[in-house]
Amino acid sequence: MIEILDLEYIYPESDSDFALRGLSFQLHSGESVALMGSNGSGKTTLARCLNGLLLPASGSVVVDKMSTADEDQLHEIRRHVGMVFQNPDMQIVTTTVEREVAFGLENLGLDHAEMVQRVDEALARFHLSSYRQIPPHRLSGGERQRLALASVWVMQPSYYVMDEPTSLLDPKTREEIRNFIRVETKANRGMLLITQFPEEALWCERLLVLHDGKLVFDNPPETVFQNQDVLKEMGLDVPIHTELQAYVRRLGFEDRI
Amino acid sequence: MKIEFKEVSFEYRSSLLPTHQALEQISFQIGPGEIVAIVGPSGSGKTTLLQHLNGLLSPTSGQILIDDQDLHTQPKLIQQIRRRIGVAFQFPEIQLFEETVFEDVAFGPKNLGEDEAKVEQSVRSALKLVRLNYNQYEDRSPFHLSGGEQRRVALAGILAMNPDVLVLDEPTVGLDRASSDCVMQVIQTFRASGKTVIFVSHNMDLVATLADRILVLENGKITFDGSRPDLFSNNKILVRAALTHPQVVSWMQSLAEKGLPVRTDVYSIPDAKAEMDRVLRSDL
Repeated sequence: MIEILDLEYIYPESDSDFALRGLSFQLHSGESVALMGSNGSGKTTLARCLNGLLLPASGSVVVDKMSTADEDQLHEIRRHVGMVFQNPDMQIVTTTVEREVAFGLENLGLDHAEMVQRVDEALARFHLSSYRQIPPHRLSGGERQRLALASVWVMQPSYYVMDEPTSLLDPKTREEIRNFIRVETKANRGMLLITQFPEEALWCERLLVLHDGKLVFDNPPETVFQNQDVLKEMGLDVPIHTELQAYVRRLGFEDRI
Repeated sequence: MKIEFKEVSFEYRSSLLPTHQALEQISFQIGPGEIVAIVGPSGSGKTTLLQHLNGLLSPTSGQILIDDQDLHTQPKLIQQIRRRIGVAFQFPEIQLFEETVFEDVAFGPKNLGEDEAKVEQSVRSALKLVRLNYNQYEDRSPFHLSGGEQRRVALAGILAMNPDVLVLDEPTVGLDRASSDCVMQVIQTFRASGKTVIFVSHNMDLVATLADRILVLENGKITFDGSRPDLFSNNKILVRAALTHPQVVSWMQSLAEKGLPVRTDVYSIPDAKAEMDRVLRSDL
């Protein structure tokens, strides 16, 4: 379990005040949780607190009983919490697709055969096998996004924190991410999915809504999306089908559709 | 401005890697006042195509004509064209680098040799287009803005050059509704003044809302060039090119399947509501 308790964060070198103002929630193993919020609401900052890239000003983030405040545990915490950044170029560091996927594994002390096998599996899983020797910069945006995900998946983290991982994917591949979330949660991994697409929040069991550094909702997505006016006020949309359905209901024709 | 591709092919070549044919025999013409969306699976050549539009890449064979002049036979033309075709690649905000928003947006106009007063005027009108208040933002550091504000500053930097054509690669990725709406408005305003917009997106709702015309790229080839209704009623191409229906369309289709006589070539939420009003109320 990742347990976030009264988490506060203040941007360094900024005159503005809190980025996160006292958040508490839990992400359990085997659970999928979506996180929505307008630009500047603190989503990415929150994500970066979950594996100790950022440390809270007060409150705590505890991953499987390890606090991110404990420097000796950070290495282990980062093995437990796999981060997929919004822009894949922020995390790609090597010169070929194959090396990129092997990069994290190299520090785990695996024997060669196992490493090769795991890299092969990851490349196949994310349809990258034919690009092994290609430099990542030669891939398309969507392919680089799959590469970033493959490099995290290969490490078998206990939790995934994914910051808009579908943003550059074509609609078909986006559906595969939905399936990925289902498979990984079934394998008892925890998922935090940051998204701008309300339709993607429906893939998850819970939806957290962040506004101005505070947690406004922590409910099943269907429940949250009944509050269309409140969400619009915060600059967020409900799924298009939800909005159209609500409109039909308001017209009094629900029985017709 | 008229842009014409004549049988443009492009190969990525390198001594270490197998040659990759990224574009094959691409031909099209885009005139002023058009909004053209380019869609297709990841890796189909969309970004490579955009990189040809301002001479960042040159074709292995074929011609690119800008107002009937061949872009690659006259080196000087490429310099001119880069002023007139503004390009924002994916996540353009990572290229913000100046200390203040003003300096960042002013970078292009200053390079064009505009005098101080003219530069300020260009910056003011560009920031206005992306709906950032000049007085509130001019002195702020671009690095302390939200992702949505940064994207808008990056776009303002391009608009400040007053280009004739705007080329955008996934312009709304990562943006919330307010910033997305702002980008959509920029695109529509731009076209309304008789200029051209070419954008790449995987977001079919965005494509359906904005595009006058859609090009589908598959494996480096154009496999469709036509209107929204023609594309979104063509299931064969949608499936083959890893595309989906816009959500408004899939909603209307589900009503049609239930026997309601609604049109399915409806692309925006207000239009969908109006169409449901019309049909549900009329056969009371």
